[in-house]
Amino acid sequence: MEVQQFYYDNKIVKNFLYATIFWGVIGMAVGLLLAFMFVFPNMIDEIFPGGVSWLSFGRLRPLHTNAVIFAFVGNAIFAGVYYSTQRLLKARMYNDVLSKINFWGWQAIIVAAAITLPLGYSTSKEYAELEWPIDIAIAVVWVVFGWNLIGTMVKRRQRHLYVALWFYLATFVTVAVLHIFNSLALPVSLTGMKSYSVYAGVQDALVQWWYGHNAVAFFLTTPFLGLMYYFVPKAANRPVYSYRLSIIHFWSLIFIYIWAGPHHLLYTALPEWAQNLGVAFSVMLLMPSWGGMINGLLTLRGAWDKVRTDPVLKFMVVALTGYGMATFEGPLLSLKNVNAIGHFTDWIIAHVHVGALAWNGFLAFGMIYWLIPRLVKTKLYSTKLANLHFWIGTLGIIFYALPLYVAGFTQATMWKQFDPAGTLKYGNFLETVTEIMPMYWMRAIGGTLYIAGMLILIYNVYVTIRKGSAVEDELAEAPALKRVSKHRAAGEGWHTVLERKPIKLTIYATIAILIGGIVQIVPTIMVKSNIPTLSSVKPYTPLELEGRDIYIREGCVGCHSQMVRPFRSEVERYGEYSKAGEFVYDHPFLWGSKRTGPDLHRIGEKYSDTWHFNHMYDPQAMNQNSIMPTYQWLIRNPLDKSQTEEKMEVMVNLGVPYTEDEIANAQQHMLEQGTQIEENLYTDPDFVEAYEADKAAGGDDFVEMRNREIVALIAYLQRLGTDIKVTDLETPQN
Amino acid sequence: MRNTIPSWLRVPVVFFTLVLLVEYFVESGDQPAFIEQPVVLLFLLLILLVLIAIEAISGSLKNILYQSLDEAGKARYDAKANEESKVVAWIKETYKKSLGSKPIQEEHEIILDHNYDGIKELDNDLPPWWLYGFYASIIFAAIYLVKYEIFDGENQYDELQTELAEAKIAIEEYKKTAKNLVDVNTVELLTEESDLNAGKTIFENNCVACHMPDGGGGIGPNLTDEYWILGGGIKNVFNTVSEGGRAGKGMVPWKNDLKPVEMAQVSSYVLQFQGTTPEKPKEAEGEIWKEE
Repeated sequence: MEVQQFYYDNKIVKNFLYATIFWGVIGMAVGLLLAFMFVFPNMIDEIFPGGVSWLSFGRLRPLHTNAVIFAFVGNAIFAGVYYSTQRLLKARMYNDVLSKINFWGWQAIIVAAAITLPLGYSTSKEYAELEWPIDIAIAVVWVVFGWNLIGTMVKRRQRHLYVALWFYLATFVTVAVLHIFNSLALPVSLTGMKSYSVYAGVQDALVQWWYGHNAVAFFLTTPFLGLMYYFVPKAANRPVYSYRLSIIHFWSLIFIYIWAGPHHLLYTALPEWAQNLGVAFSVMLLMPSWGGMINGLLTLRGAWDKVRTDPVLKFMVVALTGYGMATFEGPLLSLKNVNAIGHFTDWIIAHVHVGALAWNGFLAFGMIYWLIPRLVKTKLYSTKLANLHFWIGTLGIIFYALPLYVAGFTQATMWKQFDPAGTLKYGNFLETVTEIMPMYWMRAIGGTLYIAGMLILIYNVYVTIRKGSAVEDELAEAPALKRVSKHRAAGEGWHTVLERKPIKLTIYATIAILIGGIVQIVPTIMVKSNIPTLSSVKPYTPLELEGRDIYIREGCVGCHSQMVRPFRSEVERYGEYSKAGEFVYDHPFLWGSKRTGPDLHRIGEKYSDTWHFNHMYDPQAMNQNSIMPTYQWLIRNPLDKSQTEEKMEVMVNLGVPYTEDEIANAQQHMLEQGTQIEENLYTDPDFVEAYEADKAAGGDDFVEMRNREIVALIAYLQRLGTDIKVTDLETPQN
Repeated sequence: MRNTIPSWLRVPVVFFTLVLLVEYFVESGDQPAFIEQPVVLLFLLLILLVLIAIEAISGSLKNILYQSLDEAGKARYDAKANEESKVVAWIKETYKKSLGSKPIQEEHEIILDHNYDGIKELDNDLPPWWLYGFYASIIFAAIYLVKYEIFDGENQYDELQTELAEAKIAIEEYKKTAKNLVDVNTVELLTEESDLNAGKTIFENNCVACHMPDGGGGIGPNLTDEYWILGGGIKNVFNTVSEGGRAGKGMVPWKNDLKPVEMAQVSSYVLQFQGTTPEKPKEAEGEIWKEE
């Protein structure tokens, strides 16, 4: 048999590793800044009076989540995949140019995200906030990655595909499907960033959480399981525990995961059959998830003495344990009675951070400590420092997660308590926030520890690289593959056959991941009875539509839900529970997933325009302990009305019944509604005094209050949830 | 004399059993017993010390007896003592069974001829606890779906109705016996010094932003004149405080923030402003109100 010589591409791996570390620090630092904003809500205003819009919590939150998920974890995935794929297939990556496009394209996307998100270009759909031009770039680069991956499989020198590669393939196809279908949107104009989701309300919510849940599954879980299957046996030098377990848990995991999305929408206006499917499949997901954990942990049988000394294995053990904890908690939180407590609270934040900090973070760290010395042909500079990183990081995770579990549980309990006379015991939402402030402090400390560990890693890696010498192309050799003879194939099991047919395997995996999504999403969109129409629900006025876009831009959805669940405590606190038919014109939906502040679905007409105005200007003036930040730029900024008609026309294309007259008169209507709100603001003598003084000093470019952003936002807030007040709810119309 | 259970297992098990028993028997309301009655904590600490002492004493006794044995006796004792305790052996055995894996020594029998960049794979069985756990979760899911989709289990809106109905009964039950209940029908003007002082504090904490400390009005209307938008008199004022003003324009409802008694106190305090002269009075709004 002829032995061929070839070179592994190590340079691309190293580039991805450096990017992982760099973006990791950025993503975590933004997270830490956000954690401190909970305890010092106006820290930016203290430094820059008047506030800085692009440093506000609402705009930075998506930057934190995107940076950690797609930049830190994303680059770690690519680094690990590019290293292990070449070795598992005994081949260089299919094409160096594709590798480079993958690397530089991905970094360009991250930079674009880091610029556009703080500027307020956001779709507001969680973990899919990036606007349409960047979405297209993501799709292109992702396809390049898949092309490169599958191309390498086609020219491989290893007959069968190892389990890690099955996970990579499933990752590639599923992320592509999820990203494309969730991001479908109509741009307002081809030269601008703004777009509207093609789905509305309940349907948008279902598609979004089908995406959101499976982004966790197929971006944070399956690729990392693949990495685990390569790096754990490598680092421990032990055989993988059970090949059969690999097969069973791979197929069951990818098939079942896709169904579980609706568990993010329990007790909402989502049709209950979809909720029930979400619960049932989430429970079934436990064992397939744990299959990966036990196959990893049991691979360490006979190597536990090494775990005691080797920091790489220590990181991996904690990663697997964290994975086990998070995947146990997931099904637990999917039970409706547990979800009724955990949803909208910091419990969920704790849950995802166990996943992110322990599973993704620690596995990435373990991989970095293992890879860097091998890439520069030397030993790690300091095992002691790596151990220090391990302990500081572990402590950081504990300090992060435990207080937030307590906070979530405490707050949920307070939300639900009644006095015997039938009134809410903590009727003022703020009391429940003030109660958990100490936990927010501890969380910030935990985060500080974790990022301190990361800095230790950087130093250790830096010194290691300095003393080593990089080998960019590593020589390897392997015999070429021969055709499989009939005789050889005779006794092969069906899965073994599949393992040498990458295209077939990819197709089967695609079928497995499509079924759940199709069964849930298609009926919700096609069958009308799923969303009973309410005749009194009307489209937003042009000014309200502009106000809604400001609400989306500022990321209000990060802290305020718009979904009153059918509980006595919520109906008492907020008002009538939310109904599916109320959201039919909401492109995108804004139900939210976290209540740092109260729900806003029934906020309309509850407070006066003046109250909202003053509250946006200085929330602490209304309530001393409030942790809402100020939004003074909304009061200064003139409202951009140049695209209102185009926005309405896009809405018409999406099925919102604006008439031609309404579109033609949009400017006039906005001016009238704005003028009315401006008049209402005149009830406040302080406003009159300050505003008249401004006007007098303003000169030619003075913009009247009726034409500023705050007025549009107030118009939107005053509209929220008021449509069903005017009519009988019991008789839904067609 | 052979140990069946090792002391590191015995002490915590006995201790926590006692903790649970104490929790069960000591009357402590909603709180854990040791928080409600700190002396319980002291008692538990004592128990723990006693348990440790017993272990120490029996250990040293054993040592003394051991020293008194002859050489042959010592050897026999050592042989027995080195045997694994039954409980530990049972735990290890059960763990192994539930895992269903080959011992490491026999691993070569099930190693597959796979070699992926040096990674080998074993062909261990699926761990029985995992497999049966998976089956159990599938059965749970099936029953769950059948219950809610075919047999019409209670849906979330039914749940709400049940919850509201139960609450209604409980509230009525409570109101039968509760004292000092105030609502819009029973509220009366309070004149006690203490009530008015309490009302003043509530007013200053919540109301001055719109009505000014002297009631002269600002964002909200003047409270010192005889004109009222939503009616004067204690009942109307109480109602406005409780339910809020005109939708989208006026005051928010305070019934979630203030207790009924507090709303009565602040309403009574507000009515004290009638006829006073504020520093900067806002022009009158609404109608003249005359007590009937």
